[in-house]
Amino acid sequence: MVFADLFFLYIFLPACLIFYFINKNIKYKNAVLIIFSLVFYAWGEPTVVFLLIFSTIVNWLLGLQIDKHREDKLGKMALGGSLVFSLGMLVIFKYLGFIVENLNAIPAVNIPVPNITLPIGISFYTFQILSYVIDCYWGKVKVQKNYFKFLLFVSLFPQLIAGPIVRYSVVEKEIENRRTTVTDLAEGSCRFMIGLAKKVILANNLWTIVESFFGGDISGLSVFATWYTVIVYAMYVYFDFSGYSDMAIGLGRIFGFHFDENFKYPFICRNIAEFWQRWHISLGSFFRDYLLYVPIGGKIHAHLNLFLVWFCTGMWHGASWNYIIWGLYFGIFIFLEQLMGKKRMKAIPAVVTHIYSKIVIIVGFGIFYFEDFTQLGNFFKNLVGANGNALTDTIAVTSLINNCFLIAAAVLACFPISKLVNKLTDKSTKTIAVGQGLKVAYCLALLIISSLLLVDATSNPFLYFRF
Amino acid sequence: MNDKKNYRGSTKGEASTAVFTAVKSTGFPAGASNNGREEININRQKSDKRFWARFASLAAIIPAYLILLVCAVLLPRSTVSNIEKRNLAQFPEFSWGDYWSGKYTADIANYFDDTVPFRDALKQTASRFSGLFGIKYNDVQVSGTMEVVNTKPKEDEVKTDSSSSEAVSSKSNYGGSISSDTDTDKKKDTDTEKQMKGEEIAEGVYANGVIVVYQDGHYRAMSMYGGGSGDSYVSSLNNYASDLPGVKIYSLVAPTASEFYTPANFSDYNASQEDDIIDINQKLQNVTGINVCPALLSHKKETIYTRTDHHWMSLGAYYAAKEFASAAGVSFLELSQYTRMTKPDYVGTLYTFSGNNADLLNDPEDFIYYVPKKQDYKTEYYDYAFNYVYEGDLFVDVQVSTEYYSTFISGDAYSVKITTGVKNGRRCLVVKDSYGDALVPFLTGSFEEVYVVDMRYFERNLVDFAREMNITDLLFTCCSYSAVGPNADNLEVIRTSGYTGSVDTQPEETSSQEETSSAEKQPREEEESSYEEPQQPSYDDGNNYYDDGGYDEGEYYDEDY
Repeated sequence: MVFADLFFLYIFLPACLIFYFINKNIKYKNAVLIIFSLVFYAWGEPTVVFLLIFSTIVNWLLGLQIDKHREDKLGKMALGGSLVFSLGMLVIFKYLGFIVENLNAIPAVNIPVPNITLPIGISFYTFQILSYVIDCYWGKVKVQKNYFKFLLFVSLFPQLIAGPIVRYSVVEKEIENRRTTVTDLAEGSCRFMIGLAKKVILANNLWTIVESFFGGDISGLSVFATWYTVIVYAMYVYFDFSGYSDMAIGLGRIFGFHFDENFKYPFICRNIAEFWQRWHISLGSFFRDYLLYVPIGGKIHAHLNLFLVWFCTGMWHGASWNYIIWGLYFGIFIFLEQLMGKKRMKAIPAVVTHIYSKIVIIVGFGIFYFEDFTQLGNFFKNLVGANGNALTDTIAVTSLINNCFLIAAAVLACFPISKLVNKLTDKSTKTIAVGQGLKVAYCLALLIISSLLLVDATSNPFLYFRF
Repeated sequence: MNDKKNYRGSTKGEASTAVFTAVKSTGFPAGASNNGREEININRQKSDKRFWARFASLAAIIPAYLILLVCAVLLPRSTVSNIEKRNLAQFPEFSWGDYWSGKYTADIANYFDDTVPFRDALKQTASRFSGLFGIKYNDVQVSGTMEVVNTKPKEDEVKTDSSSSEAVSSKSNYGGSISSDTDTDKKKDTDTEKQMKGEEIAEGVYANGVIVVYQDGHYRAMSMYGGGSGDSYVSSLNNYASDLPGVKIYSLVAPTASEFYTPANFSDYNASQEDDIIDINQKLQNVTGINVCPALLSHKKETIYTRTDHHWMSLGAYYAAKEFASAAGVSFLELSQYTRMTKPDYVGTLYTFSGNNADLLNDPEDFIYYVPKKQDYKTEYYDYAFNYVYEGDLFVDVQVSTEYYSTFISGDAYSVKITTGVKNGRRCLVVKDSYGDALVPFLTGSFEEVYVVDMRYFERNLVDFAREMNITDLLFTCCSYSAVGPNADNLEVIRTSGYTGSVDTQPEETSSQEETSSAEKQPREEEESSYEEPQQPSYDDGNNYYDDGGYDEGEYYDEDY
């Protein structure tokens, strides 16, 4: 099941809210959330829900062992077992086909390519489990003795299938006890409606544009059409992904959980390092904390470690070479930025750094989009007009003009305007009331428009089927 | 949704009493006069203010959500979509197989999403909202992918018999500055791309995107024509000519609306249909090729094409039929000998194909057709294997507005035999796609007998059939898409297939076509019942080809013409 769906909005969610709020007992509330989360997951994945449950049982047991044998070897073995199990699951279900395909490229190797469907959300929940087990080993979090509380942490439906990757430490206390305050409910529901609108109003309609240009053979596209489409695509991914994160954070708050932010207006960044501090923060910080600062091969290999992180970041997004290239591509720019040093980076005029970072990011999304290398090659040629194609063409210009308000709204939404409004209204009772009133009216309008567009949903892509 | 109310009720005890005490201690809401207090106090006051604002927000959000919820869940569910002309999803029946495959749960969600109360009205409102996304530049709106087909400079045009594939690749040449090697590569790319979509393009590109233009006070949708050689069509017709010596054979390839109404700035995306028709006619041997483009062009200002459907209007077919009659040297009834009939509020298939364009939906047209005043003819309906079904009228009273084009000879559902009052010893066999439907009624004053079979669905050997019926004139008529697209391949199938007398005979042989054609056929056979009783709307034909919302060019052009 996905959030941007009438069935979720008007059947599943209200049912869940009713059962959740009719009793104040925390055990009851947790039970309701576990049941609804498993139903939510099983709705789309009736078989692999058992894989999820199996994973949680194995890792919960290993977590207990890690805690029990903190001082001796068994603890280390339990940690190793857990890592092998989790990563093994990920490799089998996500990367096996890819690995076999690449092995088959070697002459004399001919293994039949296994046909395994990727269980939705496996990348997200596997990383959540990993963070718990490692933190547990490092002693950063207390071991969770109650299996159901651990299951709740992993399966919690707001963040189950499309992130953010919530660390156990973030929700550790709230699993034990939490309260939904009036503020949580008001802010959480507004946040959810904004996320929904990002997905349904902006992302879905931007996707229609992307599909009409990048959907087929792109070798004939003009320079303008290529730039136009890849910019629209970059915004599409941002609104789709951050929209899901907003909905997750909003739903979390409604249930009394406070997740960390996952996106902080990434397109206002001044360099690539900053982009990754603002884009999919929960993934970036995961690799930073569990891979980058783990001394694999000592300090000399720090640079190697950096590229390992970006290799993994790319690979996490999908089992295809273009994602790996995409990751390493960012790795290279971050490496270069590190070589430049912070001081010298700061000395460069803001205009230049903004243009530099935006171009790198936008071209990066082209790599992200094209899994096919011929198409990717054509994309690069198109960007600079090396295909001998025209500079501009009627269809792309018409598309831009046909969608100018949509695109303008999307561009505006990339800037922290709500923060500005908050700042302006945060003066007196009256201005706060006006600000809040506007916000609620705005959010409700978004909810109504989103619902309306969902009735007419001709394109409702699901971005995360490869994650 | 009592949950939130209950929740609010349950927390009121804690939260709101807490607020009330806070209000008392800070003097709120008279707090505006409390200047000069210490900072902490002000901060607390501020957060209290926010609290009230949030409390008020919930008082707005919860009822609003409740109203939406009641509308979405409790109101009676929609069962039929008039816009999309289909029954909406049914609540699925449970089976473990469906459950484990995820189909059962997906169908439940789909049922709920599909049968939203007031679905059609909401859909219309939604598409009107989507119209606000931008400005309609030159009033052209594009849907679907489009490729440039027409940048080839005229002087480079070299036409040889085997130049068909070259013609296609140079047509996709963008900017005209690429060497022929890359051309071939590009064609290959396009081919594989199209094949991946399941679209047969052995004859080249034939369908491009759909555009909606605003012309002379009305919106008009049309699909851009991608061009193609029509080699398969030509060779089939030439084979018919050698199989049937003594029978006069004609080819009338009908251009579609984009030939006449494409705005100048979109001409790059629309190949010339007349060029292809002339090319086809030149390659025909012992077949009279009729080019109706000049005749239609001179009547461009009249309603010769529908604005909202992918067919022509009756009047366009009339001018084409006139050209055919003069080529065949038979008498022809002038328009004055027909009664003009009008059905208002017609919005045809291009509404769906244009991605539910709101402008099109809100600008319906009149469906106009012409009934002979002198009704001295008899119309008999036969199935695809030419077994007698019933005697009926040449025109059918279609109730569903999107299906008005099926007024002529019941659309493509039957084979037809018309016996007229003409005594000239001429018996005409019309082998057609849906474009021929509108043309047939104009032949009642020209031939003694008119046989009409569909080039896609006919289940007998056409050569044997023509001999059996003592056919004197054999007319192949279809639109340009069919002539250059895979529909034409079927002409060879019905020429060479042996008639077994079994209705089960499937003329199609290629696997990709089999799928579409059997899917096509299912509804058409069921349609029989609904057209026999015209007062009954034909929703229940289980016809789902508009179902997926987004339209696939391949699916629609392969068979629908």
